[in-house]
Amino acid sequence: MFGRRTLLAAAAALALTIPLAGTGAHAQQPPVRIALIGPMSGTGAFEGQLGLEGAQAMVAVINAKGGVAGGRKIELLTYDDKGSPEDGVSAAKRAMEQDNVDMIVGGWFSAVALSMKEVTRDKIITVMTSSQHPKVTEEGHKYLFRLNATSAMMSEFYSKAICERIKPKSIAFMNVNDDWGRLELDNYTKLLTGCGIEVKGHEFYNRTDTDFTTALTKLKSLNADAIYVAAINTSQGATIYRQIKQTGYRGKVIASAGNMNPKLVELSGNALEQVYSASPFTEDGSAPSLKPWLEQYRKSYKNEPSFIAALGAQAVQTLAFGVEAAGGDPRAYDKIAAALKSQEVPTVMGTLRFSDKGQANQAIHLVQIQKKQIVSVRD
Amino acid sequence: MDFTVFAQQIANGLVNGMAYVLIATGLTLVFGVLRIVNFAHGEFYMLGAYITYFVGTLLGLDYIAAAAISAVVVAGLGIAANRLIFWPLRRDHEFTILLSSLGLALLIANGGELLFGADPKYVESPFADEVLDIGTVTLTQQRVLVFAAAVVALIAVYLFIRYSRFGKMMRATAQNPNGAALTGINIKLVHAYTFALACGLAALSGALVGPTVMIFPTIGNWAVLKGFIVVIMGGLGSVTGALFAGLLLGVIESLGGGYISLGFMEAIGYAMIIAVLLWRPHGLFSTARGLR
Amino acid sequence: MLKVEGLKVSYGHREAVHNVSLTVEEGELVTLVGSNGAGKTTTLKAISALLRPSGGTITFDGERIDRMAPHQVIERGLVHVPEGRQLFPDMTVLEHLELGALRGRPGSMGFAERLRWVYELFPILAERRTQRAGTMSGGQQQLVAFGRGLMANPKCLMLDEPTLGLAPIIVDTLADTIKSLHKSGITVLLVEQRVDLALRLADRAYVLETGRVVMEDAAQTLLADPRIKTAYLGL
Repeated sequence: MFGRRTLLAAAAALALTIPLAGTGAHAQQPPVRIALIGPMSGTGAFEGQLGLEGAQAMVAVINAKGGVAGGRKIELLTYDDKGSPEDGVSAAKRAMEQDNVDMIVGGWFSAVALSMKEVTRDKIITVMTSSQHPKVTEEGHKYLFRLNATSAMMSEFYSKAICERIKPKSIAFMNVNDDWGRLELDNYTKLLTGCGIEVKGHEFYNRTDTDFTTALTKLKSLNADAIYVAAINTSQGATIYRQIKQTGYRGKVIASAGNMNPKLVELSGNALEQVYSASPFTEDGSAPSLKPWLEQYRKSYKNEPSFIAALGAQAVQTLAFGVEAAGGDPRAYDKIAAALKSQEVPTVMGTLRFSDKGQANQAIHLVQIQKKQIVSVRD
Repeated sequence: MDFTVFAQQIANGLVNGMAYVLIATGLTLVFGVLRIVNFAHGEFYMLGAYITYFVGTLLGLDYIAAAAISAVVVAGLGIAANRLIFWPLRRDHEFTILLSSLGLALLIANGGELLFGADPKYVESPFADEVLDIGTVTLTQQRVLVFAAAVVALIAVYLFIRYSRFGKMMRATAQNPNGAALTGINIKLVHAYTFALACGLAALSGALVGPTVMIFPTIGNWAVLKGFIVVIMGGLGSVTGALFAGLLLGVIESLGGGYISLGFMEAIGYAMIIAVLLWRPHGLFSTARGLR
Repeated sequence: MLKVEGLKVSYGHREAVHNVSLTVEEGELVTLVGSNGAGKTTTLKAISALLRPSGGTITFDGERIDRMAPHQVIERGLVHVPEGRQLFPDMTVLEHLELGALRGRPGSMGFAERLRWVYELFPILAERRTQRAGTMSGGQQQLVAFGRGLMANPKCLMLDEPTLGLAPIIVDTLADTIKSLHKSGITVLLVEQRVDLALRLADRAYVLETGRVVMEDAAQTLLADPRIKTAYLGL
């Protein structure tokens, strides 16, 4: 564990020294400076770390090939939003005003994304990552892009899979009490009721809870055929899946879309066996850039490659693509935005298309945990 | 009202409450004897959970042995922390001591993040997933163990304080430090071992509660918060008070969460503090000074 | 036996004892008199290591004790029965006596014998051995403090205001006890606001005023000194 931090520090130090150490024609070109703003401490610290690792690995891959637009290296600057909107906003301001970065990657949590975009939109190219809240791209800002599928897109896909493949007769919800968790409940209640699944009830747990027996005791007593768990935080998720089994519940368990990762599987023991989820990321994908990234990631970090890490990689790829398309100028925001909105962007999770509002059409797959592996379920 | 659910919620509450009591006992001992409001108490809980994890995974020892080793190691760390920070500051202003304990908390928490990594971990226990049915109530063996081990530990602590020579020295120091010094009690020794006992108890709670949840470097915040709610409610320095307040908090949280709203659960602790302090400003089992 | 030289003690920046020197020879009963705030209690606290002197030396049986912890001073047989008794309100009489013996000077008497000795001196303590100290009367509490001190098997006893707030009849008994303890071979350093009583019991006396020794003489001489009479006896 100690090693990873040291590695990160070493990688960061290396990234900083590259422009100084290099000689020759290419070294004259300044790097493209990208601010990565994420939860580096607090309860979301692990997710932030995964995203950062994914982005670092992709930066390494790109820089090893000589950078973007004929020799501009990418430099990643890290900022801690502590998972809080206030800290996210101040980090974004610091990145823009003090450090004068070229572009921003952020928005791991919806609450942070929603506040931060008010500071960055129209001023600097911003790629929002894992946030699923529809409002992030609802209005459409000229320089704002979001990678993850919105909860509406996710739920449209996933509810179909639940109705047609998992087929519970009734369901109860265990959702985190925040914007996203409440939205999930509304979406799935509508969609699942639509295909004849009875919704027996729900519980909202707090983002700071560490024990869920009280809520799960109530949910168990509803005798639903399946319990749907909407949890982003890995440690809360793992505790919930374990405690569902520990309360003696024997029905099906359905994990929310976009929140399955290897760490969660590891922490949950046998509690996740046969559990379904939906994820844009599978290791058995066919994108050409997937393999080099996976190799680089495994070489540098102890964690298993995950969706969150892939989002970090995707964010870097998206920005690199934009700079390339704009002829190498990371400040040609209008050109970059236009290119991203009109062209197909190849990424580790397949080819992305951005809508006029900056929303990516992330492809989603149904996955299941089998023998502690996340396996994509293909028709 | 469904009796099965009600009984289950009471059982959940008692288990959680007993864990709170175990955390709060150390906090209240340190306040009673050393007059320190130790904000770093939760960090010793965190260390207890992590050391149990690492002794289990790196040394391959079984859970019970790992928990015992962890409690002893953290007690040792407690002695060191007291010797380096709190003993030299003992004559300083209360506020200085308060700030130092806060500083120590930050130091250990950040050090933990650096040393252990930010990713959550799971403390393996053979009892974690084994379900016991007691009448209509379902509990895992681990949760039964949390309750039982806490009861045993608390009885041991009670008997120790009440009847052992050292326990008498602790009580005397708590009730009158100058009088204790003039009676021939080695105050430095009493401070050191009381702090060690408190840290050992915190570590034991971390080791016991660990397998029922996930652990990460900031869990100490949760532990110290629950501990303080219990200690303030029960009366600073009162072990009996901590017992009743802890169980009360656990059960009320569980019933409040079960029958009113989960969102309300967190607020209940604070609401109880305010209610108790309005009614009895020194806590339920207040002692003007000293251990009971 | 006890030798204090050039003692200085400060509370923060305020010096309470400026330059006190005194000696107590083995077998003596010496008293320290003076008005409130003269530095009598501060001097005793410094000797028993409750306060750290800012200057001067304290030796007991030829050994420097001014850098020791209180329990180390007690181990050497120098025991301080403090003003205001300093008991543990929730603990029983017996617990006080047990704790008193904790660091006692190893002597001819074992714990049981010492306990019997203290119970003989103060029968009320035997009667009330399971009573909590906080629930006892002032006089009884003073006896608990006295008994606790004796359990350490002292060579030298320092008594600070042992009769404060006690009924006259108890004062007399206590005075007799002090006298008999002294006779049995215990050296005594007595601080007492009842100056007449103190001077009658003592062999020698020191008069303290605002942190300094202003007079030192045989108790009898001072008792006859008209200046003492006007200053401290109100005669």
